[in-house]
Amino acid sequence: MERRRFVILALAGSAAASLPLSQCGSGSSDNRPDLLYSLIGKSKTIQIGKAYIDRFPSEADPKKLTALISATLNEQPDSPVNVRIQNEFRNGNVVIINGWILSVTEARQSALYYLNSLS
Amino acid sequence: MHVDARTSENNTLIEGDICIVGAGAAGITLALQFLNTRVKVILLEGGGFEYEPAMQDLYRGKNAGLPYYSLESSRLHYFGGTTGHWAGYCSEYDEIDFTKRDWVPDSGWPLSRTDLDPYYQKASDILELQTSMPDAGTMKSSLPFDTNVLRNKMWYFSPPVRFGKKYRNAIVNAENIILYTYANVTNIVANDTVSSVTELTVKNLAGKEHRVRAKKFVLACCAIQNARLLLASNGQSKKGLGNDYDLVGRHFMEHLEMNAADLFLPRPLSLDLYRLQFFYTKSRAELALTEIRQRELQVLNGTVALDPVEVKEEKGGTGENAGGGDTRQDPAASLKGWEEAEKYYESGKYLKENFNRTRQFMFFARMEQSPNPSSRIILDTERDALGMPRVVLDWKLTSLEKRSYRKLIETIGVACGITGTGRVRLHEWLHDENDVSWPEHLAGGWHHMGTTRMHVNNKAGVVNENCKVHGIDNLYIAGSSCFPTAGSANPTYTIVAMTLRLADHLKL
Repeated sequence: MERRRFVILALAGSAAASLPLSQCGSGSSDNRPDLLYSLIGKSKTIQIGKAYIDRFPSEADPKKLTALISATLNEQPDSPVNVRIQNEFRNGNVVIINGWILSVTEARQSALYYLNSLS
Repeated sequence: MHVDARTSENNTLIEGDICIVGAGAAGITLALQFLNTRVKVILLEGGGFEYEPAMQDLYRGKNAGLPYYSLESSRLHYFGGTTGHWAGYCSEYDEIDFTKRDWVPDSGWPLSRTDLDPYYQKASDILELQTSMPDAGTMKSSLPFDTNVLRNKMWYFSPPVRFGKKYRNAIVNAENIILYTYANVTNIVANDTVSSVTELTVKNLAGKEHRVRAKKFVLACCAIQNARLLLASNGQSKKGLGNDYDLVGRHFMEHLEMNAADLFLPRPLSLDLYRLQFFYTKSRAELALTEIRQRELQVLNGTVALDPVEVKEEKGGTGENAGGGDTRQDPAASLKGWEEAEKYYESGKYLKENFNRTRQFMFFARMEQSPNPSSRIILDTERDALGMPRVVLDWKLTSLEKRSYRKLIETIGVACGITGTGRVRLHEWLHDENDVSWPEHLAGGWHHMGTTRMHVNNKAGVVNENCKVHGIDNLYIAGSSCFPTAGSANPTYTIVAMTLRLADHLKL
């Protein structure tokens, strides 16, 4: 449920309308990558997000990140978000940021969280 | 029987059937195999029964390569040898450790794991290991990783057996074994054709010099000293004994042992299978890549231990950080550190409850070093108090060790992601996959291997498959200097097993 909420928050704004109905939740404003955030907290999640943007500057755009995250997660719309992220690991869709071994989606989620923290 | 060689009349001729040089894990194990037989065994130990700085100084040498421990602190020069400060970690070498791996230059042993299995069983008695698998409840705490990718490699813990204490009476009271203490071999004398050893020259700091004759000679005085003795015995063969192809002293290997990553768990897990409490735990698992995955990734063999982060903040460690003083450089501080660590762990204060309450673990990763002829022991121009050339260690690593470290951690990190176990963060020294340098805290396991490597071909190895020096019909070598590759596990268990195998050969 928390993961679903995150996706909705990540997609808040321009891309929200493209979400499958099944992913829509209560519309909380708490925008963050759940598992990572629960493990290391806000500041380190932001650090990871910034490092991701530094490495992939072409993705330094909330709309673009939102679209990328949405596209990946929507590939398996019937699975819980955590399962989809686990499948990303299984499929080798992995990136190492600041030493963190992450699925690409959760790295992008961190990046989006970082960008949102700037505003 | 015991003789202090300092009290023997000068220029005594000592004679026996088998002469063993060095009374550490290998030398004592070998001597014990001839206990109460008709074989007269001469066991030569350079030191006495206690730690002495003057004896230790005979091991002093220089480091010319990567930063390393002082050579006089990394081995103990007395009866029992370095088992006087080992931590008791034991694990069998894996099948892949014995095989030729195309991506590991000079890999492959002339024997298989199956050949060694019966000797491991016997070695476990000598080392007082309980090698049965943990109970079903403990096994259930295995991390839920794909067994085609990751495996639990079992480790067993010796109490640890201090050979100098445990086996002293058996050796000293044996009628057919004569232990000579303060008997440092400084030269090996061969016949005119250098095809057979005729006698050894023994010296001590009391100014005595003796000769030892035997039918067979076995060098068992550690990887550095075995190579040093062969190289220094150059009166008849300029490059040293067994060194026609310039292999003696080369391929020096260590086990890299470094903190490599952190594991963060969303909630505490029962991980008893991986738990270690010194002096309590009889066995535990470390994570390792399967043979299949090692082949796919073309990496070296290594393992990862899970250390709860809280433990890291406590005093103790493995003895290397305890006791004060510079334990990497000062042999006395090193020994004191180990003794203090023992007392600490024996006290039972070892955070019994923390392991299953913590949500963060440090990955303490061990990695084999690949055989590298440029990583080597050479003789120095400086000599010790007995006139023996000191050694220079030029320790070198390759990019394969660094890449293997990273791939091992990455694989575990991905497995944690797949299973939702948690997330893994590589330590900074592993962040950049293109960086082949080593950090300041580069550390080995105090394990020395490979300097008289085993190979059936005399152009590729110093000893043959029976640990006999190529070209010399009665000179053998025991210990990890014969190991062609380092394997992922600490060497003592395999040293003892290999020595038992050598004993069987010598009995034929």
